[in-house]
Amino acid sequence: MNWVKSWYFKQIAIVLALAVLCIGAVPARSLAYMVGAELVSGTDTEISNDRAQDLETVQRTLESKIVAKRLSDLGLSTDEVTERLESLTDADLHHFASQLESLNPGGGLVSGIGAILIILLLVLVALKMTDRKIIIK
Amino acid sequence: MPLKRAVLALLFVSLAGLFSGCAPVGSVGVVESIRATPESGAYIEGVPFFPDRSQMCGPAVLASVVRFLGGTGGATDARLFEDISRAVYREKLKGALLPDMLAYARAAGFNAEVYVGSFEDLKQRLKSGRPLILFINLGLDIYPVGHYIVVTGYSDAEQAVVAHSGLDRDRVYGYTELESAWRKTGYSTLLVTGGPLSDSVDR
Repeated sequence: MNWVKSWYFKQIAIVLALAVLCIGAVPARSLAYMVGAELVSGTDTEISNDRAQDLETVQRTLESKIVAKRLSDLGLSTDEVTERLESLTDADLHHFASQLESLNPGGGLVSGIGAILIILLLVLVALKMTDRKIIIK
Repeated sequence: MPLKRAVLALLFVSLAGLFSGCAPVGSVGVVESIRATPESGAYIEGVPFFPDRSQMCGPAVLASVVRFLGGTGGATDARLFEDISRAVYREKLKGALLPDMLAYARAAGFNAEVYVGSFEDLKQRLKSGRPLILFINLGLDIYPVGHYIVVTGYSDAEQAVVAHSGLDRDRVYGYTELESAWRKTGYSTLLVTGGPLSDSVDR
């Protein structure tokens, strides 16, 4: 029986080897072809547009975060911040994110407590510079 | 000792600068100078003046420009000022924010944009009859005191601009003074255009 098995497997091995040889000998033409120039440039443009859009999105997101943080620092609630961000155009956002000083409130007056603190601070510095002291008896 | 005197002088100047922002200065001479020598400047006649009650400089300047452009229909000045105040003044901030000023102007049907201004741009706008709202800082960099003015004219001969500011109609700001205060807000400028009288503005 052993010789029958050996002969049988030899035949199978030969058939398989020939089959692999035949399949391997066939050129795989469908795997490689020249890409037309117009298709390449079209793809580049699309990629470039996508990239520009992505950059704009990233920029707007970052600028929104900067402006949102500034408005939040001023004391506005989340809803108030969102409402303002939604009303701004991309150009507005870019301006405010680039010029955070322009996001201070304009009221034209020094707030009372702030003014008193500043005056107090400046007076103390002035007294220190002139080596004078205030002694309360 | 000279160093101490210099520091004291600096402190005094800082204090003076901090609280002199709304001090009235005579404007008649500058306006007359512009009228006498129009080639050295420009002055826009008839920009309505809304006196700024405390902390209301934002609504006041916006009302000036909106009314100048013929907006808001038949509302009285008082009603207009009240409407704008309600829309842009924030009690907890003790003032108005530029984004709210922009939003109000656009909602009222005007074109509005905020941008980094310059003296050249300011002069060109004034020459074409467009008053500009400037956001300036009358305080210090470390302690900003935001203030809105609406500029109505300039004179190169006098090296000054005139603007409705606070309680002063046509207050005079020297170029140096304005530059110092305007620089601290990144030269923030609000331009409002459009409205019923917009076409008659350019001249």
